[in-house]
Amino acid sequence: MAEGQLASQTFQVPDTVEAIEFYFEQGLTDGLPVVPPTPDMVARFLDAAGLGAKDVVGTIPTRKREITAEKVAINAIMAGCKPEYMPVVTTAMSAMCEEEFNLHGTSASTAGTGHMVLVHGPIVKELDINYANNLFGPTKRSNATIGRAIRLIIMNVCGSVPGILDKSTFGHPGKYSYCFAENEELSPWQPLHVERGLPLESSAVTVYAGNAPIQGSDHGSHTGEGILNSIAGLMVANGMSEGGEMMVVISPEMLLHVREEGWSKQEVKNYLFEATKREYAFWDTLDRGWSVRSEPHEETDVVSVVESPDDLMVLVAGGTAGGFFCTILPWGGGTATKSVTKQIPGM
Amino acid sequence: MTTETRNGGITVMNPRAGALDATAEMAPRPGRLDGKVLGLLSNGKLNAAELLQMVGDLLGEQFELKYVKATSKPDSSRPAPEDTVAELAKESDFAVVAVGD
Repeated sequence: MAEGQLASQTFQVPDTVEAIEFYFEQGLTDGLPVVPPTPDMVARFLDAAGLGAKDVVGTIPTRKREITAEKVAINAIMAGCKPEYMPVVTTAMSAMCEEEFNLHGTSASTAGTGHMVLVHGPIVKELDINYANNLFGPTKRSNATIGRAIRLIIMNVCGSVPGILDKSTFGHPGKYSYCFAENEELSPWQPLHVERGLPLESSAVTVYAGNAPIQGSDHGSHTGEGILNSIAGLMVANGMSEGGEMMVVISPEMLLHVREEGWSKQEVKNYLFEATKREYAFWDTLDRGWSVRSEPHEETDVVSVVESPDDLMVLVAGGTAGGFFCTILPWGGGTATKSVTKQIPGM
Repeated sequence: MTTETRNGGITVMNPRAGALDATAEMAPRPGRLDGKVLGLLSNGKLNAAELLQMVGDLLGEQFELKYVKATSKPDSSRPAPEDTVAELAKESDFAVVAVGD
């Protein structure tokens, strides 16, 4: 597309180094240097996405903000993306603008959640998105920059600037970037996008307002039940959700006995649901001051960490060595946010 | 490179939704508060209503308010419903919003 169609304000700077300083001075970065977004690069990124500059990727009605493709491209360049990452970034932003995700609340709250992008399907290999070693740490350009692009868009386009509209008490490291994929090869189960009705050969993203990963381990159990009991133990320690979801990421080694014993994903979810049941009185000791689920109850009534086994997102990822797993809780107990899975258009 | 300027510099683009030097205008101030209707909107979290009540009481001590209309968001994690805001705007001359946490 022609650069002349771009509508954003432009600035003249002497050179690239000065441009990097300009973005720092204007408060437009996450604290790291950015790639200066030039009009020709923006045009190239829009072409890669097959979008026009004015195309609207999503809106936040509460803030009266429109997220145009042009602004997505500018922020994606700043984050260090390649043009071919654009379909993932635009689809993720579009999914985050679905009402049930609640982008406004999740990006303003003191609870300080991250905005996770989980990528599915053939595009994972095409873009070299990491699903193995150092899953939540530094590895690939795609993981680092796609997640960072999302954060820069939330800050610059949506206005969630830390300390101004982003009131996170702690935030978490995943707010720099929170993008990874499932290990679809080593998982015995359907990936999440297929579970949610999309074709196996399609590429998709799931966005989730996820807190920081909490890591657990089990290097001693020799049965599937033993492994799942360890996972359930950490889920209970996290506290009860307020009616939301919970993500459980299991490493290939941790899954060994579960896989060998032939557990289906639904059986795993059902088992974890039952193994995490506790009395209301117990849950109330873990999270004082917040209401536990609002339906009438006695302190001795028993409920699980989530309302239904289907609120658990169970997936396989991480390095092949090490019996570890992570639980990832939703923002604010999950009452006002839901994960959204969306197919990448044309993929 | 089309991004090079005549003096050898480069052109870069604004990533924000609005202009970097954009300013917003404040709503008109209500002037003296005597005889005015005070609207109070709580976000529904712990202590927000108590904080607002105190603000309302203090303003009531300093001014002859016509009356106070207090309301609350049904869900602290989501925006106030449009009809709640519209009703508050219609009935109140000025409003105080509190965020409890």
